[in-house]
Amino acid sequence: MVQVRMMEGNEAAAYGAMLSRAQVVPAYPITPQTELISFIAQFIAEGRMKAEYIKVEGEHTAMAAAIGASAAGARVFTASSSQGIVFMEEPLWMPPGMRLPINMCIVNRSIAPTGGLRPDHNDSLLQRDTGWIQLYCENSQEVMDTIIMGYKIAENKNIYLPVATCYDGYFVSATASKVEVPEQKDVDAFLPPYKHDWYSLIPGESKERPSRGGSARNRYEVQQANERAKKIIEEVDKEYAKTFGRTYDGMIEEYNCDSSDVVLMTMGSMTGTARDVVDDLKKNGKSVGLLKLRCFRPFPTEEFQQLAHKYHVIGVVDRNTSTGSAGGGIVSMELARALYHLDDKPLIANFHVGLGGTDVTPRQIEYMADKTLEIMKLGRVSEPVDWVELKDLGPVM
Amino acid sequence: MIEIRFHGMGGQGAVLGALMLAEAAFNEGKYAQKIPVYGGARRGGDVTVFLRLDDKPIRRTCGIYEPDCIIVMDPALKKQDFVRAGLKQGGLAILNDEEQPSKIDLGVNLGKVACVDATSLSTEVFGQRAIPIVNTPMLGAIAKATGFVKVESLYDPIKHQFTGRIGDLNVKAAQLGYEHVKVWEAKS
Repeated sequence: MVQVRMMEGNEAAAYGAMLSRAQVVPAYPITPQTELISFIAQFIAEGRMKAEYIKVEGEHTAMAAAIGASAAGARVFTASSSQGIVFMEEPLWMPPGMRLPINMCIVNRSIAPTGGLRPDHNDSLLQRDTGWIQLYCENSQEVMDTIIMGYKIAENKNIYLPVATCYDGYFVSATASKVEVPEQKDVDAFLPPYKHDWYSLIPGESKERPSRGGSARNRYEVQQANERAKKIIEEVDKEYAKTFGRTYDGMIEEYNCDSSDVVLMTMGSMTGTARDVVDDLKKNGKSVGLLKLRCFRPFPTEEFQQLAHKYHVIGVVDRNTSTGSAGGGIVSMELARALYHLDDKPLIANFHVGLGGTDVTPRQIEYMADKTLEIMKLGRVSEPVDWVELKDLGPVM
Repeated sequence: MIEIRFHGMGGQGAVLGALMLAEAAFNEGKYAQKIPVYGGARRGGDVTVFLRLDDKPIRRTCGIYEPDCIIVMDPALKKQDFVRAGLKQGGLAILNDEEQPSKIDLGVNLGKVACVDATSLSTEVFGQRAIPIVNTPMLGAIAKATGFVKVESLYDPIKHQFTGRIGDLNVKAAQLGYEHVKVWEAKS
């Protein structure tokens, strides 16, 4: 029977790993990821999850063990946050190049020195060039579903790439909300056992290997796999909807965008707040919609190119910084490159908010929506990057 | 939507208390959402928890700046500005406090104030502790004073968190909070 109950994001992630029948979990605790691996350790201790939990001395080793286990034929799950991800950086480049379908939760948390324990997206976005697929989740339910879908995408033999399931610390990881837990038999039917066609522990049985024809050849193949993943992500989402009744609209969700002149674009937990705000604004006659960017890697360039003509301005909400960059946050720069060659393209407004884990408030979102409408009227972007958080827009915790 | 803000100190059980209240409301057929905010998971640190209850799905995932109700887990906290901040006119306050509720002044005209000496009740049930765990007596008091949930609805979530004898003691603590809470209501 499908179980329905209140569940925190971290527990939902642990259920996602258990339902996916992850077999090896090398992990090291770090706030705000800790409860996730503690739930997994508990599930294993209770005999509910058949997996090898490897206690490691740090995140660098966690990823090294994950690589070995995945190449040896096990379905691998791990998780980390912030400084843990940074410490993992060196082996983190291996799974894409070796084409290992590891699934890792990045429980977003800001990075030292000024960040606290709460989230922004610089820890995961720092890894954007590695070749990992990156999916961003809004709430507990989406975390559980995305982990299950993630393995299906990663283990597709035309893809063989690792997947990072990213969700905000505290605002998702420790936030309890309603979750439907699918039945094990349905997940088993959706996600068959892991078998990598290329690797075998038996000598002579390994068939193809990832390209050894130099860096360019290897990186090109990882890039091509990323390109192919776009279609697979959409297909897996549709298949998931058919099996479990929930869809996330693939890589980008257009929410309440009908007859919208402008849109805001968000990632992660702030999307839920933005849904309430744009609904209220629509009722008050303001034509603002919402794009939820779910998939940052591969970046859905073609999809953006197709929807771009519909909107006069896209207001990108960047919960990250790229200091000294060509201009603004990481997501806005990606979007600008994706649309650059189009003749009919929207203006791009860019906002920094929620840095170091400060809250993203409805009032801030309303401000960004109004700014985006103003830019449309003005016909140009007057303030290329708007540091919303530094403006006095009421209390922000 | 009802927006409730819990204020406590690490170790008093504000986070778990809010979760159990959320589960009780959920089991009664409501939608609920609990967001905790704290620094390191350590005893004595500031803990704030946001709890929303509604008849429809809750989507916003942000802090609560203008609560309908605040829950104050420690007598020392009621003088803090961040505890009083944004509390609505006509709102509710439930405090762990020996004081008579009519004597509580949070700087805003409240519709209802309830006080329960949850520290003493906790000590009575669980014995002396460095930081008394006051969440379950507070939950009983909240059920009585606000009617957000029935007191009986708290028992399953409590037993979901605490098994065996500890579960029974926590149920008893909730019942004591329900029985001993003193409620003051503004004349309408």
